[in-house]
Amino acid sequence: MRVKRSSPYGPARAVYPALTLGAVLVGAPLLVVTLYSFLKRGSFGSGVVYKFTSDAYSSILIQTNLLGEHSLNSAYLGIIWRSIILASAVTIFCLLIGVPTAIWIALQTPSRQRILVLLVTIPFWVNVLARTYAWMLLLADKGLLSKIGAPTLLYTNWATLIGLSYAFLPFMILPVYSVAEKLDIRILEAGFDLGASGWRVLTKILLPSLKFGILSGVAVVFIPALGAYVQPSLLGGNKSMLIGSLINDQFGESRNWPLGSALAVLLLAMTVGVLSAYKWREWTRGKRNAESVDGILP
Amino acid sequence: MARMDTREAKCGIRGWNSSMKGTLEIRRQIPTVGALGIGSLGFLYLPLITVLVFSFNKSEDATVWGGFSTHWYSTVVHNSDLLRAAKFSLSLALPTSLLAATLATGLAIGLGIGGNRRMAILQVLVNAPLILPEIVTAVGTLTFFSAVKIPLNFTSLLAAHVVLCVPFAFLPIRSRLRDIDLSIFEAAQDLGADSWRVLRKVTVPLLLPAILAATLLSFIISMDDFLTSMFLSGPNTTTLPLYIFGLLKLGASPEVNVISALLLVIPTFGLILSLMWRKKRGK
Repeated sequence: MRVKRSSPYGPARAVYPALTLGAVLVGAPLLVVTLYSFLKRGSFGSGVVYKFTSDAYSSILIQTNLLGEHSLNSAYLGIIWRSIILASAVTIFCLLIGVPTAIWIALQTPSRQRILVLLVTIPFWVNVLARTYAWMLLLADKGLLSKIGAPTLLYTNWATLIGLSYAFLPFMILPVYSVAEKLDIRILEAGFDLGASGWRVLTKILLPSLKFGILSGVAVVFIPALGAYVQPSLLGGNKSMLIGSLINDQFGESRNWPLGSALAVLLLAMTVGVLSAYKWREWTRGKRNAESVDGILP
Repeated sequence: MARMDTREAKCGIRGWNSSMKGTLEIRRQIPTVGALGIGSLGFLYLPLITVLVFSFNKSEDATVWGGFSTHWYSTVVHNSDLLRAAKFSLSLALPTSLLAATLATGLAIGLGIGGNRRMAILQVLVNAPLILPEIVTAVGTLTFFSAVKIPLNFTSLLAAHVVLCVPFAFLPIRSRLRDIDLSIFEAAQDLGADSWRVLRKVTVPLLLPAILAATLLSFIISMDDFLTSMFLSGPNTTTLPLYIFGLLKLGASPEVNVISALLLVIPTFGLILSLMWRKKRGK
């Protein structure tokens, strides 16, 4: 007999504390930051003046010079563009390394799989600052990699790319692995028996079956990479600013809260865009196919 | 055939390992998979090992090896600013992890099997910190606190950390809940237990390992958090990551080598201990 009450595990009321917290400390802040992005910049120090304006958004797009002429704001748009390119590069790098790694792990014996998954997870538990610092050591001028002849990459976009890929590689490996691990290998075997080459089995059977793991990996790498702050500000130079640092500046030195809020809303919109593309796929293709995505994505 | 069956049973994964032929075939046909797999493990561990080795460096120059020494470890443990920041972070992570685990347990239990349709939007909000770039939630919380005039102090930082941890704490609890046989709860109800009694006598005892895992997870996330703490730090709320970030901005130094090595070893050690404990308990 199926239980009639909404939850068999205990009182249904137990959800309210967490949901209230979500409404007050996630919902309300997202509304307030959107509101702030449409307000006037406060004249003193920080804060805003409660007067509606879309100045923050137009200043991202258009700049006005001393003569009153309008032109595209290449500084801000350049930073946004660079963030998108860099996040895409990080995603591609993680795809190229992470997907084969996930397949490789899934091909091991179960006990080895557990050890390898643990090994992939451990770096995730290490403080992000310590992990980023490790790359500062390796990439610095006179750093360890320079001793084996590598060029000095610290304080360039390359260093940011490496640092971000390093931080998010486990995010790509784990969802792909969790799909690969459930895959019935006899399907691949059938492919080989029917005369397909390794490449053909990879592109026609293996990768399509891993599609949902790969898609969720792409989402969970791309989104945080887009808004990253720690790695770009420690590994990238002053010249290679990204959205994260730009937002931080508006709440620090530049003291332009509406602009900072507008940039955060922009980041939020891009995130929602990526996620809805994903959800749309899920809806149009019917059932939830990837258990691994469940929980990672709301 | 019989041998195959026992092996399948042992592996617990049908099909995957029962067919080593396919595995070998793939490994032979797509050799790059193995090379990239080993390569990516190297990529993941090279930096960690480097930091670990260089924390025992004698030299004043952080990147030049000058012989083995534990000198910088003793410097670090006597750094009072660092210790103060570490103590503050601990005093924040402890209540954060307990609160987050409690709230996440309530959420998982109250949602039941299918979840609550009417509350769907609120569930999305609770889970949002998991997927939104952290800077978005941090900026949102900062503007919210400023709009409703909540001062930035220990309590407001605690609240923000709890919000950040709840969706992570929710994951192990819900996945454990899904693994438990439903008939156990039905039996408890058929025997006349009301929902609170089911909660106390059945659900919580069964969930205990997952609740502990959720607490540990939240503890580490709170200890590690940088961005939220940076945006919401008040006059007397310097967390350990905030202090370390200040040092890192100055570049490599032997002291930071040691701090990073400790940040690497301590959570790893904790993680392995908890896994061993769970394994022992499982047997």
